[in-house]
Amino acid sequence: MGFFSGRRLRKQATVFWELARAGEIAAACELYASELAADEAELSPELRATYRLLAWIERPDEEHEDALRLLAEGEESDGPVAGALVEVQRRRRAGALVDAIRLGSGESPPLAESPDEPSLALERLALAVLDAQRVERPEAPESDRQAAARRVRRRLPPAESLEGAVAEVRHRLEVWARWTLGQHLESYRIAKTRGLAGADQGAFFLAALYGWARDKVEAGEPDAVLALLDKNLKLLSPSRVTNMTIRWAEHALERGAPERGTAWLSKAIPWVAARLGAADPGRQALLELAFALCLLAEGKHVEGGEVLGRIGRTVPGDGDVALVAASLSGLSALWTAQAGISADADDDEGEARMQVRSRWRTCHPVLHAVASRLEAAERSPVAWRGHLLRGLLAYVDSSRSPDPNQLRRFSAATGRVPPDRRGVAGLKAIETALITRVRATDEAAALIRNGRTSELRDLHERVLVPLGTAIPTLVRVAVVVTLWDADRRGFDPLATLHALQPTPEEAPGVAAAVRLVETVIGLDRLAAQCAAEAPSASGLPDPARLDGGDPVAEVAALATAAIRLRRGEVRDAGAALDARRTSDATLAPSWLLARFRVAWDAGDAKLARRIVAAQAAPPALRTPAARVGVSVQAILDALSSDRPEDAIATAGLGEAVPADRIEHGLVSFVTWQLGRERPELAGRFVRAVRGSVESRADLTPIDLARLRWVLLLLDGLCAARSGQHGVAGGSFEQLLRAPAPPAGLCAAPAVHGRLLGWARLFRIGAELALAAAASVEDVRVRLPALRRTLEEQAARLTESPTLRAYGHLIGGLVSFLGADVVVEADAVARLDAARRSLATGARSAFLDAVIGRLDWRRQLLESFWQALTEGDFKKSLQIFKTELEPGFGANVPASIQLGMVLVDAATGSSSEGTELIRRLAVLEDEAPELDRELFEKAREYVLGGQAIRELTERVRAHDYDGVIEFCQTTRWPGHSEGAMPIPVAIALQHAHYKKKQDEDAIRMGEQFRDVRGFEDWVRDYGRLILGYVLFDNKEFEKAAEVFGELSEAEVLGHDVDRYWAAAHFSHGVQLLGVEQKAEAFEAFARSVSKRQGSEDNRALVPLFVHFGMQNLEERHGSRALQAFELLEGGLADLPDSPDLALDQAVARIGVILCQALLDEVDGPRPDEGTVAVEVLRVEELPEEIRGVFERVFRKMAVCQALRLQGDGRGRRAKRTGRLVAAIQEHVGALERLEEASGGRDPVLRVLQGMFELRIGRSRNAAKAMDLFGQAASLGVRSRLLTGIIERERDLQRQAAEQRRVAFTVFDHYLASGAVPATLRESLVRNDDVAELYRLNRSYRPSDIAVPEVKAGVAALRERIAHLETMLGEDALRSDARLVRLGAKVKEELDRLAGSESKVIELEKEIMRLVAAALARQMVAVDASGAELEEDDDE
Amino acid sequence: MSDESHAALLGEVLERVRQNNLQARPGTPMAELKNAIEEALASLPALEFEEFSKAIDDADAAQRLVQRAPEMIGWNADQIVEWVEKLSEKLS
Repeated sequence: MGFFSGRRLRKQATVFWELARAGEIAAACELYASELAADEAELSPELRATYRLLAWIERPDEEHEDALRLLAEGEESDGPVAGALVEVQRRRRAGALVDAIRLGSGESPPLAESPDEPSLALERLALAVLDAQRVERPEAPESDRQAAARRVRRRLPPAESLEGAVAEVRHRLEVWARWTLGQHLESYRIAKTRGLAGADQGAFFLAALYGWARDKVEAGEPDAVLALLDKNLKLLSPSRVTNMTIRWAEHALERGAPERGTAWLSKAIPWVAARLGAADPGRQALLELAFALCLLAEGKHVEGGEVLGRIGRTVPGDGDVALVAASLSGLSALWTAQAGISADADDDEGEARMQVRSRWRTCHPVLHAVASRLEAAERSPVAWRGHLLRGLLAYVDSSRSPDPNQLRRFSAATGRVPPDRRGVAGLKAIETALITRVRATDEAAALIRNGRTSELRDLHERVLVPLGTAIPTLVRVAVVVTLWDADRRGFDPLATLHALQPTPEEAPGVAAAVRLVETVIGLDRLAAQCAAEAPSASGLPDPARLDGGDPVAEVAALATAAIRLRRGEVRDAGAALDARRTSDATLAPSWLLARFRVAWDAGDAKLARRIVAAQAAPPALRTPAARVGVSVQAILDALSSDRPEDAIATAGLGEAVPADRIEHGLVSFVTWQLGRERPELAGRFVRAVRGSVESRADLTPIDLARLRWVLLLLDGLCAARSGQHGVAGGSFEQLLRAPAPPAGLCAAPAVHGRLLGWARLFRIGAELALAAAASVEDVRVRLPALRRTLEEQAARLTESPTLRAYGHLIGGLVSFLGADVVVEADAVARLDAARRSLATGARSAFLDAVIGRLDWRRQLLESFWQALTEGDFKKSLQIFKTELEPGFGANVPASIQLGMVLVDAATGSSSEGTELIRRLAVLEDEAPELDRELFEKAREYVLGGQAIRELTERVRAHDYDGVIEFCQTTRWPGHSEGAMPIPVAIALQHAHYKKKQDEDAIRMGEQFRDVRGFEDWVRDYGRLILGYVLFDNKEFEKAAEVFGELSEAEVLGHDVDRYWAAAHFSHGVQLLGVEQKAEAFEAFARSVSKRQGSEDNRALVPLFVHFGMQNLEERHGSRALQAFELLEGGLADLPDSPDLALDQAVARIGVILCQALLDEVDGPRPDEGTVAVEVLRVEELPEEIRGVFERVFRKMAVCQALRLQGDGRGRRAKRTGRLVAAIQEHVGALERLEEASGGRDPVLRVLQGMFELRIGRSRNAAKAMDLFGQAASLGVRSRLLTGIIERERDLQRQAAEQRRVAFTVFDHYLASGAVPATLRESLVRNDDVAELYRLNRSYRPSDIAVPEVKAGVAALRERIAHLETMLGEDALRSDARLVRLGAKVKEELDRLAGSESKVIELEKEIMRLVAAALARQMVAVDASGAELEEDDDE
Repeated sequence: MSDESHAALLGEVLERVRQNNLQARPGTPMAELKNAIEEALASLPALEFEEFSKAIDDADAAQRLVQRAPEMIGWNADQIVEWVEKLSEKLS
């Protein structure tokens, strides 16, 4: 920079400073921009900083603050440049605070980092102002206000840091904060001490008082507040007191403590009235309104309602307070209506719903009155509440529809409700529903009035039904009735109408509709029942209840009468007609016709005659027949009302009427009346005519006689038809005795005879009817006489062809009534024929039962006698006891009693013969009609039977001596002296046999043989006993002859064929005993030949087999052999059959068995197994049992061989090896059999075990023990076998011990380390040694063979080898002596090697033999029991 | 539509229905019922005028009495069996 430039710059800088100091900020900034800015770099930082400060003040721009921040960098923090920056920042924050306070934005800039003290105080004050501003909104929550107050108190700078106006601001803020925090008195003190009181002292005091009192009210201390007010009352205006009183209550409400407000006002209101006077009703009303609000908020609606009512009475009706009170009254009533009832109560139709309806009925008019009152105050600001309430009521009460104006005002009122209130959405829904209802209702009304039912039906289904109760009830009724009227068949309105729940105002309309519909339906039902083909029994509507006036009631009554007449309900029909006489001329003929039918059916002859005579009578009644009909009715009427003269006069049978006409008219009328089931009237008529006839003097005796006879007949008939059986019986009895009428209708003999027959029948009927009506006791008393009478009269009836069937019917029925009557087959047949000819209907079932019962009784008697005839006395007795005796009782016929004597005699029912004889004597006396010879025979029978029973008792008691004595001493009825009945003779022969009185038994037996004429059973019994006696006496030949004469192969369970064969056989044996062999074998042959009358002799097979086996057991081999040979021979010629083949096989096997045993004793030694081989060669042996036989006999053969082994001869067999081979063959065959059959034979296992243990060359004790174990598991229990097993186990234990010792030595040898290598290798590879170690050690020989320790010859040879190597060295090779000694040593060494080799070979052989010996030792131990012993043969 | 209009509407409907019912023209309940009454009375059993004439002048009465007296008084075979049945019940 040049000089001049520098000077100019300094000069301009000076001007700048001057302008700055003078406060010419704008000029200074302009100078800087124009003169200094270009050379700014040459200027001092202070000047530049000053410029930026002034420029910022002139126009706050961040550019200047940024420039200052750059200038301040590197400068001292307390220097002027930094101070300029701080000043800018301070000013910027202050500006922001001022803006915030002005705008009330609430945004608080942060405090300066390190401002100077005054600045900081101002900033804190500004922030406090902002805090207070933020919560000064009325809607600010109290909690926010409290928090703001606490922040203000923290922010406020110390009072001494501020002065002037800002200090006052600070003090006011402190007062506000303390008041807000509830420190009301402190706030007032601060205001007072900080000098704030001044003109506002009263305001600060009131504020403090207000706050303090508000808290006291909230704390429930109203008395303290009232005391304070009393103290400062002169400072307070009445309006202020009133406002504060209300405000404190309002505050309690806002704080959710309405009870505090209630408590406060309940004391404050009287206090205000006392202190300020009650002259101002508006003030009082306001306080009361606040009190009512508190009560309502507290839920005390009753008390609140009373207060509100008081307001309504004390203040003008159109005042705001009164209207608000009225509004509150309505809301309180609404609340009360729903209070205490859960909205989600599931009991829709229950108590809750009933309560709501009841309350609603109460509050409903109140709400409407409130709404009307509010609506009337159009200029009042609360008038809209009336419109709102009106709409709500319309919504709740569907019976009322709001008109368009009400609906519009309701919509406007809903807009007055603050949008943030909870119920706004519901109000909108209600508004929509009301609009829909109004539209639907209006549309429905229009359609009804225009008769557009089709569209109405569509609207009903689509809109009205879904809306349900929202549609006014009466409109719904109108719709339903209109639809039903248009289509009565397809629509039932009653269900809908009955389901409605109308209000009291609506109820009459609904009821009228229901009644009208029921009327129309009732008329339809009446029409339907009138027109139905058949009368129905369904109920009828009451004409009096039908709606529609007289025409409807009259026609309904007539219809009811018509229906009743069709049903035969004449009385009810008459009542219906009498209730409503038609005034409709078109219905008059119908009404008269109905009335005539009623009179006719009721027998009102007078009325009937009057109707017939009436001019308006329908054509059907204006006929001659009708006139006759009513005349007859008049006769009946006269008879019914006991005016017989009138009846006779009307009938035209009075004075001067000839007898013919009287008789004709009498018979006509009586028969007609009887046909119409009026016998009483007919009887009256008969008696009236009788009186008339008897009083007439103009009748001749003949006329009188004929008329009397007819009158008697008709009188009896009328009495019978009336159930007067006694009267009827008397009339018929009298008629039967009366002389025949001399003339008239009944005078002809045929007619008279027929009528007398009827009279006879009716007399029986009357007796039966009287008896049937009598008591049980009377019936039982009168029955015998009644039966006799009826039987006689029934017999009389059978004389007449016309009445014969009746006679048979009554006769059969009388037999049925008498249980003791013997029924004959003809009687039953006659009854059956009568049943068919008389064509019984209703009682045919009983009659069938009677016929069945009689027939059964008849069959019983026949069965009784049939059984008696056939000797089946038990059956006779059973029939008598179960059927006849109960039926006959004390009247058992004599013939049956005689039969029962025989039955008792035969069955022993009466053990005393004398009693039976006595009964016979009595019966003979009482029944002289029975043949005397019958009684004689019965006596013999009784006596004989008694003897037989005594004999039987002796036989059963085995009292054979008594039997013999009784038989010989008894005189048997029907037999000559010494003779006896055949059974008795058999019993006697048996007794002789049992008492060994053989001669008598044989003599009697011979008699049975010889005498002709006996039945087969007698001869057989006698011969059987005779055969027994002969057999016992060893007269076998004769016994065989007698047995051969029996007619059956089995008599009384005795096998006669066997006895016969046994006799022959025994005879043969007898002959053998006397050496008559030829004869003996002939006898044997006979025993196996056919017995006379027998099919074959196979039944004797068991006898011969038994005989053979018995002889075998008794060691009579030859006899046994003979038995089997005889059996074999006897069966040889019989025809082939499977059973015969088996018998033949048995015989053949028996022969083989015997021969084998005989060979053992006498003959040469048989090969082992001969028996089995021979048996298996038997061709007759069936294949299906051949296996069984083979198993048995092969085991038998083995046992035989072993048994023979034991008796000393077995050693030879053993030596030859045949025994072993034979046993092996049998065992092998048995194994194959077992394999084929699948079974497990324990005996075979024992045999196999014994073979493995004791027989054969390669014996295996372990296998034998295993087989023995299997046999034991299969159930073999043998003491001997157990001993063998125990001994074998001992031997095995001993052998094991011996082997253990031997192997221990062997182990030591191998482990000694002295065995030469070649020998060791040989031993460990030796099979015997390896096998021994495998069986007895858990290791191999090579495992323990220790390598040879070089010593002895080996060591010597090794040393000599070294010596030879040394002698081969060049230095020594030339020394002859050494050469010679070396050769000598070599020679000796070779010899020594040869000797060693031999010794080792010997050692190897020895060890091999040792191993073999050990092996043999084991075998020797195993086979140490190889010798068979005698007790091993099982 | 006011509440009074609801009642008026229903009254109109009911009166219309009532008048319809009282009409005697075919198809209305009253007309149908009148016809039905005449049908019902016509369908009643014929009166026994002819039968009643026999009561005082029946030429066959005596003949019927002679031939069928038991049926006339109901004392036929069935009645006899019934009495016996009652008797047997009392005796059993």
